[in-house]
Amino acid sequence: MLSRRSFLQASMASAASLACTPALAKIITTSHPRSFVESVRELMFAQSSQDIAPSQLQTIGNWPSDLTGSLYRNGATLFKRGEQLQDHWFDGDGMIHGYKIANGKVTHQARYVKTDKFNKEHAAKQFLYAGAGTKRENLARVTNSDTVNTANTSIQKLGNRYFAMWEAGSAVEIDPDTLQTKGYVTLAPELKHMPFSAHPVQDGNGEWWNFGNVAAFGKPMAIIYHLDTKGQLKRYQMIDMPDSGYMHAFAVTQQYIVLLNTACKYTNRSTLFVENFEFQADNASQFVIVDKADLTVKKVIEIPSNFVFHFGGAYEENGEVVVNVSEYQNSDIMINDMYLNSDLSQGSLRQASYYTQYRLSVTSGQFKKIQSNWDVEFPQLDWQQSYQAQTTYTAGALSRKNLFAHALVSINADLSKAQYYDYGNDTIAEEPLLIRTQSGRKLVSQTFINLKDAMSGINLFEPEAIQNGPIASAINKQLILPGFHGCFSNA
Amino acid sequence: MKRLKTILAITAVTFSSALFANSLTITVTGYEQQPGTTMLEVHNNADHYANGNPPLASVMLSINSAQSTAKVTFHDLSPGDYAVRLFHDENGNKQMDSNVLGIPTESYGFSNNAGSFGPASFDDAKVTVANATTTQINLK
Repeated sequence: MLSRRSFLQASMASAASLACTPALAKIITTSHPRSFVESVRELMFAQSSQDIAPSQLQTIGNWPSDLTGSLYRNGATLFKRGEQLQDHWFDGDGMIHGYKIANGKVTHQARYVKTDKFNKEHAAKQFLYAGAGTKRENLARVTNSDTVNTANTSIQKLGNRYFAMWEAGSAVEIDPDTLQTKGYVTLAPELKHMPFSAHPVQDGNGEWWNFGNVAAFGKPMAIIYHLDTKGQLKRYQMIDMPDSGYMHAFAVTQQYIVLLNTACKYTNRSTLFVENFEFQADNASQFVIVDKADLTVKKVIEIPSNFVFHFGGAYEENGEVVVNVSEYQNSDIMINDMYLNSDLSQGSLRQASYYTQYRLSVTSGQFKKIQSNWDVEFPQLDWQQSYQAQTTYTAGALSRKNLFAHALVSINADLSKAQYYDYGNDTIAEEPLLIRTQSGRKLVSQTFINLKDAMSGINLFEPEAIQNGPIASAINKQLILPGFHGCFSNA
Repeated sequence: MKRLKTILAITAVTFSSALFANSLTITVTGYEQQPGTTMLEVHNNADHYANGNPPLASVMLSINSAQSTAKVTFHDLSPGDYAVRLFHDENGNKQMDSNVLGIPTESYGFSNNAGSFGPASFDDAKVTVANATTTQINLK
């Protein structure tokens, strides 16, 4: 079986040896037809529990010499210890990838987030806990949500602090230089172990908002966090929700916080987090609009049942609250498709997540829906231009409808036009980010994983000319696992 | 847990004026490098237990960071049902801390290891004491 360490050593020895790594050859050149996702799945179960040492990437093309900073990404990575396997994509331990960029050079290193869970399981050389979607008898004491916190979903810079985030427990602070774990973030004593979503949103004034979904704790409530520009707590408020729908991310406008209580409802029928959710197609989803001034619910607007992980931009325009989302018809993606042994992993098609705009009237409660035909996820935009209608950059699926995107897709503000760059069917396209060079030049960065050529890396695009393809690339001659979310910092 | 007696590092407690041959030995397990003080109550009255009235007896066990277990024995008990509850005070504020959801943020436990879904009732936690009775409480 391929181990990351042996693979890394092989890659450092020579590029030619990569092609000869037996396990890699098994993944890529097997004589038996296998689906793309099955190959990815095999790669997922081949990850070592060791960190990845720094290595320099090869930059090609017109790599900007004044692009200085660090790109960070987080994702579920460790799915196997010994003969034990995790069953759901949610259940891999988080690994932080850091790409340091300066003077035209790019170095990469990665470290697992050293959560209590990771440390105990690493010492025990086995998984000790059930997962969000993995049945297993707990072999160690579970005292609170952070006992099983994998910190595997995102990394974001709040003030000068870097938070690795999950969603059902605390953020974990990461040293941005070494990627070492500094410890759990407790914003206030009474907020210890509270859910803190992986998607905090920066306000136009530099302050931060986040929420925690309390549904899994048996209460149809959410907690709203308001943090200052340094990432310190200003205030928090528990708010009542219509019921216990799954919520992964949210949006912020000039006046409001917008939560989407999806029709994927929490039940108490299982000991597993994922199994407790049931999509209730006949029930509504609800936008819950919270006034930022006093953190009270201003309006609840019902819409037909849907499922959403991620939000794009949001703003107020002509008396309406405009919210962009990647919308699924139901929650099959989480409840079924993200199981690593699902039919999807054998090549069946997943449901699309169409980029969709809702225009909500806070006064009347009416809504308008504009749905594009673009099947995209991980929407990102220029967060320095909060509350403006603007182009969204996404990871999209044009032809291959498995779990993984294979294109960079930019969609204009009213969803009427789009550009895309198709990597082809052998490559996974990850979450893009709108970044800036030291001189203020805007670029779109996108990390990718090319299974055919056994490489990964970063591509840079001109934001207005996505279809022209990357203007520069930093090539990492090793495969890494597809991740979830990240951030870029010029510091 | 009110009116706690300050008895540190206690291993045995004798408190009854009447002498009985019965005892209850409680072993607390599951400390994970958690220095602090374990506040432990023994009740023999269900109403007192439910209403937070003073227990029959209480102790404070000083726990160091190397300890994984603690043991205390109550002697000279009359035969009958007893319920034990405890929390481990790590920050020394003499309260069982909880977050805004009311979920404890410090370790706790009940006899019979009851209380998986909220505080254990007297009936769920009760242990019948006869002769030399032992019970183990795993910290939650």
